[in-house]
Amino acid sequence: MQFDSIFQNDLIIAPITSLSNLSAVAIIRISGFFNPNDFNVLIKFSGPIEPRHQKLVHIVDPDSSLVIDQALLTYFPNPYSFTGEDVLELACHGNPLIVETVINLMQKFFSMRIASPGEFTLRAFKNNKLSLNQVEGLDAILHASSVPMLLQSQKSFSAKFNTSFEKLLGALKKHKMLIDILIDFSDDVSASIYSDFSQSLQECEAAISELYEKVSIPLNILVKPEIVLFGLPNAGKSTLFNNLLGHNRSLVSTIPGTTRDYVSENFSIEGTSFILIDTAGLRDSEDVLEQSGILLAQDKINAAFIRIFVINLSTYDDVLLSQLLTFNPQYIVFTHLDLISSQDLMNLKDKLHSKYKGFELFFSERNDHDFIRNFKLNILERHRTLFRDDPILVARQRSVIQKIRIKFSDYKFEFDHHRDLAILSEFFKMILLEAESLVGVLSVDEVLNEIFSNFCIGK
Amino acid sequence: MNNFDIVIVGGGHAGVEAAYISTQYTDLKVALVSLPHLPLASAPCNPSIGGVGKGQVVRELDALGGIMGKLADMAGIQYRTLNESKGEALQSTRVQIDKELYPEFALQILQKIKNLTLVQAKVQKISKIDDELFKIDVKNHLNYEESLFSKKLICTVGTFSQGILHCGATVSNGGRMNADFSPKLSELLPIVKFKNTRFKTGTPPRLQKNSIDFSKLEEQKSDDRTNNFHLLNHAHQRSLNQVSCYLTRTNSQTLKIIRDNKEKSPMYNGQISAIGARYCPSIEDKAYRYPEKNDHHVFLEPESLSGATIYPSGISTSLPSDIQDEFVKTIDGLEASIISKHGYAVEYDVVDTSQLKKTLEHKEVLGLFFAGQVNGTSGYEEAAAQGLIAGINAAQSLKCLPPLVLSRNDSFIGVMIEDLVSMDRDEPYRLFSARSENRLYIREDNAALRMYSYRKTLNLNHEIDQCLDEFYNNYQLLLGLVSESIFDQSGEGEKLLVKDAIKQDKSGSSVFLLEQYLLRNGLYFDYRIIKSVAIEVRYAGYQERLKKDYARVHRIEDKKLHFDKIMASDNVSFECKQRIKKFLPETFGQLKRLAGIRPASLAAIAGDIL
Repeated sequence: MQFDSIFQNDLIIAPITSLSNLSAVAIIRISGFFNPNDFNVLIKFSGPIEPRHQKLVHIVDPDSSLVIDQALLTYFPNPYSFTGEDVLELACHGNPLIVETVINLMQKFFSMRIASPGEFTLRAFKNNKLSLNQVEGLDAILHASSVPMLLQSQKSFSAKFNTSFEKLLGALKKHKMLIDILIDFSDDVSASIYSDFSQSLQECEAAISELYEKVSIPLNILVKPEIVLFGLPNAGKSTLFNNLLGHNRSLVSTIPGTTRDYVSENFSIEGTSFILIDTAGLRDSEDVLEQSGILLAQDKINAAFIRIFVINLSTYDDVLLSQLLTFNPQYIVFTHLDLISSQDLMNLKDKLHSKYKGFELFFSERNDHDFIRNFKLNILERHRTLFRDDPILVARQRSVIQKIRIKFSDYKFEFDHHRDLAILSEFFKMILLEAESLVGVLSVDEVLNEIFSNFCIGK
Repeated sequence: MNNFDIVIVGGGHAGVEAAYISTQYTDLKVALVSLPHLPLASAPCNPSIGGVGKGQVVRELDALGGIMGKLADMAGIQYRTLNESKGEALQSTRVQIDKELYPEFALQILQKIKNLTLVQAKVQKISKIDDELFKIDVKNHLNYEESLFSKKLICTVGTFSQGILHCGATVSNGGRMNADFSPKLSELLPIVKFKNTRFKTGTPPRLQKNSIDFSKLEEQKSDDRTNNFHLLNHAHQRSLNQVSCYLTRTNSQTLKIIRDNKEKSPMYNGQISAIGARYCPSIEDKAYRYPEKNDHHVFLEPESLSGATIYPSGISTSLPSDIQDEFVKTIDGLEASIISKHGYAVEYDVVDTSQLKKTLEHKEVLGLFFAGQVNGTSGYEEAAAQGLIAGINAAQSLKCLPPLVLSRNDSFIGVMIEDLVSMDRDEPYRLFSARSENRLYIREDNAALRMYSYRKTLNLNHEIDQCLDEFYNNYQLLLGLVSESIFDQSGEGEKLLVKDAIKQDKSGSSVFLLEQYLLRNGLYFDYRIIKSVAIEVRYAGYQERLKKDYARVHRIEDKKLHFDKIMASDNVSFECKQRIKKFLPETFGQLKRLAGIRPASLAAIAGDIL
């Protein structure tokens, strides 16, 4: 985006609905400062326009007097609009040709230009209609790939989410105040100020760890959770893969080593998108872990949100399998149950339950739809719990919080080792500088105000 | 003979400082006009010089060729290092002074200055004859009227302009108790447009020393190790006997009396409408604003060696005298105390400092400078520093030399002046160390070094100059030495440089470490040089690291603003534009420090310069 455009308030126009697929309705938005009646060469209607009420209009090409389209017009006078300027929204028919013609005509007869990507939002930000955190929330809404993520983005957009930031701001402000009191007014306050100081340090720490917890789940796990299947060759990974997907993607055969490296597919469980990954099986070699397939897939497995260890019960090998447990799966799925007698299976199940304590065990019968459905719901539930603690989804906020945490640990180190307030106050200033973009600028006067309203100071 | 290059109106700390510095330009003819029967550079409130932030200012003043540090040492009767345990960079000096001797010494020094004329008279009116010449109409104590003429004028009238005193319901005129007052600013200086702002300050009652029982109070002795202010003096040698201060406290009984008499307080019954500083609250403010708190510190400070009065710091008041008599007696040690002079409040006219340049010259009436409490500051040190800056710049401008403007990055004086000219203030301004962005560097120990190049650009030849050169050279010498010498010659294994030994010191006193090292090796350096080097070495790494961090995070602070673009922008509110036009900030950092700039406007401007 060109920053030159920040200081312009020229009229901008753009379709705000997707034009890639044919749809019934497309919306064109115009923002700037204008009188809606000025457009009546092109947009014909009868009677007055009422703000925020839809009105049926005809869009007419002034040169040919041909009606291009019938549309619904909504007028939002400033400042009560998305951008804070005067906004006009035209809901025309969804044919891209209509949209293009209307936009061309508007540009031809009025001085307006096509908005650059994000420019409406930028104007909203500039006109104080949205905070930076809200802009980022909006971005997250538009890119949400699951219902929990969407809900999370909504919270961020509606600015409710800021409570953790407010808590942080409160804690930082208080601590800064105490530092300044100790330096500038130590004659005026009693010794109890030192216990206030350590308490305030803990409050800062708590506020920072609360925020840090919200960013400690890697973003890719929240946004694009991966489910990875691993196990020995011929364990039944590809069959499970296809059953989860619901169609045949992976080449299924009984020859060991059919799947090379890995294959992946997008799939969704009740609206939440996942990436399902089938790793390479293992070829016949002496040492399991030196198998090229699993080594290639190693990073993939470690980074995945869900790790599923698939075991062929008919060729169960205790020693080999134990080595694969180092990948720390959440689920173990046993396959090929039909090759074992039901009596043996009963005994085996008991043994397996005690051996694999702490893992979720599933026993998969061939073509068992109930198993697949339950298994999917179980995975979905695990993903939903990630959102229980309001994770922060915006990359900028996440990186600022990481930096604050690092700066705070520097500060604590100095606090524990030197107790030199001159240095401490400078280190704390660095935390405040980092935090500014989350919580706003903290001015000297604000801190002094805080001091004078909380402590009795002066001669 | 009534023609001068510079006339200074007002003989307080600002006026005296302006006179002392401008007469160092030996070919200038300077007059200092002060009210008859009032001592020069007197201390009408607390009997101390220095404090956190203020101690730094006194040392900056001293290195720039000012008089305050010198006078404080001559009249010093108790020295203390504040923040001693909180970190070497934060240490500040406070000196209790003998209030009777301080003005006497000031007079002695000023009387000896050949190119200074001391005039005792009341200024009636200041006008301009032409672009270059001011006419100052004065009346002496015999009502004899005459006029002085001057090319530059420095106005330091303090609290005297239309000063009104309040003690209970008793209201009188005066810049302070038992003193005359000056005409209101708009009458004194009809050539200037004033905004009619009035501030208020107050002072506590004074107690008779022999009526106080000190035996049960906590004593605070003078500290022999605190460095003198004046660089020419030996670091620790005192010129007067040293005395103690004492600490006592108010209690629920004291506060009950004050709370019960709220309607008699001029501050709270509407008798005083001017604004006082929150950081300098009267005991009434404390009582009404913090209804839960009854325990307030009261420091008992002797006002002089020979005199019989004590200044009780912490109970400034304008309550009626009988109430003052009553509440004072409830305080530990003061049960039988007798008030020799009651506390009172004073209201006075102040100048809108946003109309001044960083040289303290008025933006519209050129040649006219304002300094001191009339600029809405509080504190002797703040006043003195402004007097010095106005004095230097009046002289520089007479000699067609470039102005001297101190940066806020290397001095507290610079912080104060930038704050003054870039803020509309609704209360008196006091310097706190928190106002500086650079506390790790703006320290007392390196004040002489920080001011060195500023003083050198003035090209003056006064007693301080040779001393500064010596300080600077010895500092460089010792700094070089610690960077190259091995700390412990006898030790085995790894050889440690002295500077690294200082950095790694965990005892918290790098100064002591370096002192011991030099002693072992038979090297002699002035204690102040040792201190300065040790502290610099200790903080150098931190400063470097923080500077980098700061630059990374705050790239935008130093970005230049595009004035025309801001003025043309629709995203900057009209109000904000007005403020920007008025203060003309150059960088984004300065803009951010202006009061009243809306976040939306800031964001819009930030977007433009990123």
